[in-house]
Amino acid sequence: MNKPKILIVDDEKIIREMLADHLDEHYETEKAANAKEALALPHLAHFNLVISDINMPGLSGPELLREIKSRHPGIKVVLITAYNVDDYVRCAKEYGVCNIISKTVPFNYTELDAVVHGLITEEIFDIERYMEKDVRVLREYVIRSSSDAKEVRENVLKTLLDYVKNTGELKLVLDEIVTNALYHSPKDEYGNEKYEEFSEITLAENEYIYVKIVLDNEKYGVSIVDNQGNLSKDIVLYKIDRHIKGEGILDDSGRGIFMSRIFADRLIINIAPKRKTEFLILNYRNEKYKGFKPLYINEL
Amino acid sequence: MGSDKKQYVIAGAATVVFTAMALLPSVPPAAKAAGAGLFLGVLVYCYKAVKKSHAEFEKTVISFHDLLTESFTTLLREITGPENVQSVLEVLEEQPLLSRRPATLAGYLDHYRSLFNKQKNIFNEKNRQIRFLNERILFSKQQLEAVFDALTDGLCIVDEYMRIFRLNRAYARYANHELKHLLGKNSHEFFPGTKRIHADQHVNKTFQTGEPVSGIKLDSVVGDSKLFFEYGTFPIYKDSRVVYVLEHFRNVTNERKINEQLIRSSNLATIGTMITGIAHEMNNPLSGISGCATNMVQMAKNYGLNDKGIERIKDILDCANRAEVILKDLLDLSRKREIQFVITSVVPIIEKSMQSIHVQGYKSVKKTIEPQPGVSNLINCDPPRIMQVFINVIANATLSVLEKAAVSEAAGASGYAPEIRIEVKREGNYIVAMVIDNGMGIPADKMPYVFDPFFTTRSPGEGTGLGLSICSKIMMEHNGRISAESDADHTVFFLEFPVPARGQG
Repeated sequence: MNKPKILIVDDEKIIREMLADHLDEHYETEKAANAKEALALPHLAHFNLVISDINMPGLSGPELLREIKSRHPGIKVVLITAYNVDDYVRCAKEYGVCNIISKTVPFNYTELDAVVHGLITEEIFDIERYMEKDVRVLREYVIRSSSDAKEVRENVLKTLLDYVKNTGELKLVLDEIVTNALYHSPKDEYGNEKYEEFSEITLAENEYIYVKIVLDNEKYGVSIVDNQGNLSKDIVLYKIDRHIKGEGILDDSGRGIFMSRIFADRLIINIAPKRKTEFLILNYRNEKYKGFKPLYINEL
Repeated sequence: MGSDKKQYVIAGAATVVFTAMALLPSVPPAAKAAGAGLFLGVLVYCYKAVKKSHAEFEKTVISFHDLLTESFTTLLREITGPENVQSVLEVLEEQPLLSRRPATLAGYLDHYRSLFNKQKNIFNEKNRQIRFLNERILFSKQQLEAVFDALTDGLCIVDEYMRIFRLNRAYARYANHELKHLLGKNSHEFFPGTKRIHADQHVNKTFQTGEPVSGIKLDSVVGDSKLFFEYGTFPIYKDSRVVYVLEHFRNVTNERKINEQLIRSSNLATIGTMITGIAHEMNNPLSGISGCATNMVQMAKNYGLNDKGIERIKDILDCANRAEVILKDLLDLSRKREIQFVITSVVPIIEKSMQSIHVQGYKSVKKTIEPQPGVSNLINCDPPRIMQVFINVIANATLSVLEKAAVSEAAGASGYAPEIRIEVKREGNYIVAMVIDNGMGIPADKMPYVFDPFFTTRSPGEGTGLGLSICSKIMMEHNGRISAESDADHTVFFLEFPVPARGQG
């Protein structure tokens, strides 16, 4: 079977080589120094994925990816940058790119592999894909009511404290995301929220929230999955961007996602519309992968 | 006039005696002739005596008149400013009263009356002016005294034996004595720190040369707090001789603190704008270096590397990662973060910070928190940011006491107990947290730089030298202050937070 093909576009030679050296093991890679070179490739249509730097001479990364998408809609695209990813959220929204990899130091290859693999295979779900080989599943829970939710949140923190020194702001992030999944995700046939926030509720027969805690040698993760899939990447991007720019500062709606992204080392959102929404929270146990937080939102 | 009366009595008596003799028939003619001769003689004598007496009287009157005129002229000259003498003289010349003598005694009397009246008017006018001036001087004096006392700078006037002749309230406050007790005392026995700067010599110099002295730096410990002054002297002259010297103690404590903060914040602002640009550009090649090095270590065979090669690549990787830590700290410094203020007690923040120190040997350090009893220690802050400040300062203190412990142990000295004490108290409108350690201390020549970005005394890789800069920035964002003092035995970091306004939050 032929290896999937990846095009790497970056004006910095060492970055192109670095990415190619690593990805060559599982993929066939090609390199271009700028948009012009990339677009001139005769076999452009054959690539499965294009990874492009944002700031380049000539066309910028988002402009290049939009051009490629318009020519070949099946090609998957991802941006990569050494700059503050938050500055590009609006741009990502405008250009329809929802994945921005951050050039961290040391470079986070596990994350790169997970993102690349997820995009190419469209297997976006499951937190274990983002974990190292030694990953362990510590606990799994199913939430069906508001009282379950409270118990699970406390239990997650308690469980993790057996393994890590402190859980930082995880409590806040859990509160936000579980509340979101419990009260804001389930919608009635008219698209209105079914349950009133913070009320005592029991979910309907066909509704559930699934929580999993995982741990590897460098980080721990919590995934929160609901079977509604009512969120969309556009809404997520809109809300994150609005708060980054300070426009929604007094507006509580959607603030949870923005806050969670600030307080978690990684917040990854995967959506299968009308089927499933998955929030992945990853926190590094040591101060690793400093630099800017990447943006990972996948919608099938 | 008295002698004149006598002449008239004698003449009158002689006339009676002679008339009686002439009328009495019993008196012989020869005796009558002799009597007439004698009578004539007496009359002539009396006439001469009266005339002489009149001449003397007239002389006296004239000389008195001249004296009075002269005194009046002098008086007019004296009480009139030198600038007006000429015009006054002109007026006087025109006055016939003074240029011409009267013909009769009554005329003299009129002159006298008129001159006296003029003098009286002049005196009255002068008196009124003096009273008015006196009131103004008194008022000026009160104003000056008020200014003198209202000054926050200490002032005193000393004689050549350094004895205090006058002083203001501020001086008394700094000298920590009652004002009245300080009068006549030696200034340099009472104002703290003056002996260290040899204030006597400066005062003596001003006495001798008349030259003022200024800008001498003076550190004083007043009560519990350390104050900074600028000391100066100024001569006070009398008859072109320096008779007193004013000593001036300008309190520059706040100014110094503000200045330090300003310098720090301007440093930070400049760095901030530079950093964001540089850090972003640096991050790109750095991630390339680090990423490539990782590949080469993980897939050494692909690159044809031997063990030595792998070792060097690992060194490169370490360096790249370290450079990244510096960049991240720099970005932390320059980034504008939204601060979430809440009003909260500072003590739990300190406690939580104390639990978050991960320095080896930290457990062996004795740690105490001493909040001032009965005083609110609420502050308006972003707790995680303030924790960052406390963690930084406490971690520094820990390293310092542990280093001292190691040094004492190496020197074979026993009895050193590493200790960190945090006092929280209210001072004016600030809640002050003092982090006090008995560690190595900060040398005086290093002290001005401790808040500068990149200043560090540790080895490369052990710290970026940005910790206290970040603390300084965070404290500024909270409208607070951070400062430090150190001597051989103790180092104190002062973290000052403004007391939240009523109704705030």
